[in-house]
Amino acid sequence: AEVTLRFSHFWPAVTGMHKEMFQVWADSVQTASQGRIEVEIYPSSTLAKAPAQYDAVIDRIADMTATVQGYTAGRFPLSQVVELPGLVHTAAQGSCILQALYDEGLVADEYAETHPLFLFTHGPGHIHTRDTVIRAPEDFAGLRIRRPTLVVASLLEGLGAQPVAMPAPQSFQAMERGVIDGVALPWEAMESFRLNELAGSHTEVGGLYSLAFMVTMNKDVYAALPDDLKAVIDAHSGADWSARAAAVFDRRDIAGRATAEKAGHTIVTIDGAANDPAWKPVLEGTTEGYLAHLEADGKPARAVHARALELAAGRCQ
Amino acid sequence: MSVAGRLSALLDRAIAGLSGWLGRLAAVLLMAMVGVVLADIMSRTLFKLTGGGLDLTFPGGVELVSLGLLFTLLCAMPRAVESGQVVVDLTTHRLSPLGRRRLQGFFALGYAGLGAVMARHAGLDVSAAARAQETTQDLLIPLAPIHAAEAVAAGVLTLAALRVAVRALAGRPEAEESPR
Amino acid sequence: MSSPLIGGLCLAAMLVLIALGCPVALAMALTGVVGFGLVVAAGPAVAMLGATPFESLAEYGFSPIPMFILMGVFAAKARLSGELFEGARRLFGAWPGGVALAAVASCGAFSAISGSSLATAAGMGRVALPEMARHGYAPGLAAGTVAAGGTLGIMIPPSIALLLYALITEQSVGDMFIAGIGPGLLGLALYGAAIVLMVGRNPTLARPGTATGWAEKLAGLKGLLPLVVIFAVVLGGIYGGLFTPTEAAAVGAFGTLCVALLRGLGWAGFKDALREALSLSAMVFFMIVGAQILGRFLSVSRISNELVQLVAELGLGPYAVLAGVLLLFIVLGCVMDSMAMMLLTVPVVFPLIESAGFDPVWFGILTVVAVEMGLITPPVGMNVFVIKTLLPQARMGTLYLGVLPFVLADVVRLLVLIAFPGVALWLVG
Ligand code: NA
Ligand code: NA
Repeated sequence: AEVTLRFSHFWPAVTGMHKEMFQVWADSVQTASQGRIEVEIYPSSTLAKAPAQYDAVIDRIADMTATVQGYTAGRFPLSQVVELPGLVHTAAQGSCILQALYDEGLVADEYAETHPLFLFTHGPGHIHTRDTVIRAPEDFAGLRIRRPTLVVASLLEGLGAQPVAMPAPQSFQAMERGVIDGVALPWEAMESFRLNELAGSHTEVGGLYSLAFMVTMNKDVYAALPDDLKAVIDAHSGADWSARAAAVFDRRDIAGRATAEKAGHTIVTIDGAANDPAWKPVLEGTTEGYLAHLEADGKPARAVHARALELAAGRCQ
Repeated sequence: MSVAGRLSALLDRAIAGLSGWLGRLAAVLLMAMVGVVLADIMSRTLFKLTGGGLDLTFPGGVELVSLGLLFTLLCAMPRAVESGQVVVDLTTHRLSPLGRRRLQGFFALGYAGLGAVMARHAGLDVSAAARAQETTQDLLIPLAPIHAAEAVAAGVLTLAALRVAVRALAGRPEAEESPR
Repeated sequence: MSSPLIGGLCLAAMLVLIALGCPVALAMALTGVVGFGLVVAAGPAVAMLGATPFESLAEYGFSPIPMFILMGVFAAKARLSGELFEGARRLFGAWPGGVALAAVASCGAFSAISGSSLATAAGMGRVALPEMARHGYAPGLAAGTVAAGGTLGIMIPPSIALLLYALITEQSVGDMFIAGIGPGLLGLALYGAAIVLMVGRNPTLARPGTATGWAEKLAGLKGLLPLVVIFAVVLGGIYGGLFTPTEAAAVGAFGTLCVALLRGLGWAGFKDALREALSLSAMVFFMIVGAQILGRFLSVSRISNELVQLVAELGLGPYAVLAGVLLLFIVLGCVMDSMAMMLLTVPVVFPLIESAGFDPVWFGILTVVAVEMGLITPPVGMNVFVIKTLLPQARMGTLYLGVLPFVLADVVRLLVLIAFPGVALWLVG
């Protein structure tokens, strides 16, 4: 091949995201470029640990990555607005919102160091615990819960849990060894990272939170491509591919939940948490606290959040 | 002794002193790590025993251990450049002691290079972290000073390795203050 | 040049560097950065070299290592080794080769609170070698006994080797530790059998010890008490889900410190212990950093993928693959350091073993047996080197000859484990 792209991500090679999304993307690029671009995928963080993947792309240790914005605290605060409670109910809808915010230029500055291809979110995140059944916020007391990003940390803190920062791939070992009592993750990840084998209880709080993802490329690597190959990459970027990633997440969420059901786990569903007096103050407090904090730093968080709500009610339903 | 000679002796002592102090810091950090983990276990146990009545639990235990490990080892490494190496004595036993010593000095230059690349990397991270106001994930400690400390420790590693190289290439015996 | 070819050539160059006396950790790091530069480009290679050490040193999973090392050092400072040996000596009394049996048995017991083989061999050697000399034991037998007994340090939990294997291959540390118990005891039994056979064939190797009564035998066992408690807390804690390995290591280090303090460890001894533990930890982590830098290069060289493909094309059966891998381990073990060998080879061969359908925990145990053999095989047997520092007047040839029967015992152990995986796996959930 004329160009080899080293594509690094942290999902294990057996997961749906690797096989149905990134491998599909790679094959499609290879076909569309008539074999002139070869994509070598490096799953399971073999080129850089999960939090270091973005820097690895800047330094061209990897040519491109699929990673989580929030694993580096403080770099993508406006994009992470999409993670706030109440916004995301499916991956399709969350991805539509995030990609639109980027396309409209509201969050694009945060990605200046790399060449983003597409952004997406996972489906709604839930709480999964080893043994403690969570029915109300007071059940969180003293539990150590793995959380993906700062947004979710303040949410869990508000609920009375002790949040522990940890990339998803480390969660299995941590939960197995008792470092944590539970995790905040979508159903898809419970399957991808084998956590359904450890958790016995799951609590679905509608629209609790979501997580922002990106697929992004080293700027120089993109710039060095000849125009016709740039066009191939461009055709594998944007809203269309964002939606395809979301579709895989949504499909996998259903599969992950089915496994837990089949294993006879406890599944608690709290409908209308946004209006439930036990949950509402925490959810709203998290949103307000996050937005106020960013505004104090001079970032237009409220404008971005307002636009996200508009999109959620409008074309991203 | 010439001025240059005295200057190099002074440098030699200064670097040895720096490595020594970092080594002491490493010892403190290692015990602190043990202490943090024990405190974490005890507060958790109390919390469970009292049914949540006595809550002395604190956040960030995992993060503190990670940081503790990082700096314990970064601080222990300068002293270990000389004596803490696994060398396979397959062909070198035929060399004279002086020849072996020179070879050791030559390879110490490799560690100086590694330390320098690490120091440069951490140094560049300082400004990037300051610009984006990056923090650690649990305790929200600003990353810029952490990277600065990494750069300092890696810098001392470089100096310590250079010192070993200079002494060994000059055929002088292993330094006395190295641990054994 | 294709990436896998660069990978192979760089690995060969690395072995040459190591043979030329380059520190193993540095050889891995150099090979990693040069190879990465050849496959990718110079700039990214330097960035990778700068970033990887910090990433590896801050890895929570590695945090038990310095604390397990500290635990072993405190145990040595608490003079537990002397008490263990004395108890075992009384237990075996006038048996043929009784003092050597006592040395092996107390090595096994010491392994239960020491995570490293070198520390076990050094700790027990200091006590057992003078005793065996006093009882007229042949230097070869005495040295072989302690060198081999010391290798049990990384099979009987806690073990840095088992922990590293668990981290590299994403297995449960608790499972790996539990799986080490059976093979560790088997090793003890086989080493004991080797001693009895040798002394039986040639009684001049060892003068009989003094007979002991039952009361005396039982009284000797009380030295085991602090050790049994610490071992039970550490292992039971990890396996029962009470502690993480990090927490178990901290509890173990603290418990051993308390025992040492009760036995009169002073401020100077405490400082000594910390210094020794840090020096050993730095040694191990230099190699971990080197191995991770090398690992990044091995990833981009795609040498593992190529190897798996090659084996698939050759159509080798799973046991042929296993035999090849173990043979490679044993040959490399002759000339390489144990930890370095594990860090180096496991990431490359593990995909091969997985695709052959073997149990990863069981394979980890086989790996550690092979690594243990490497510690006592010539020309580079780290444990034999340790014994040599304790017996400066002995000739290396004599020591390696003395070790030989124990190497054969390890071969037997390997075969038993392959034929009966249950020896390792019976306790694993
Ligand atoms: Na052990
Ligand atoms: Na060997």
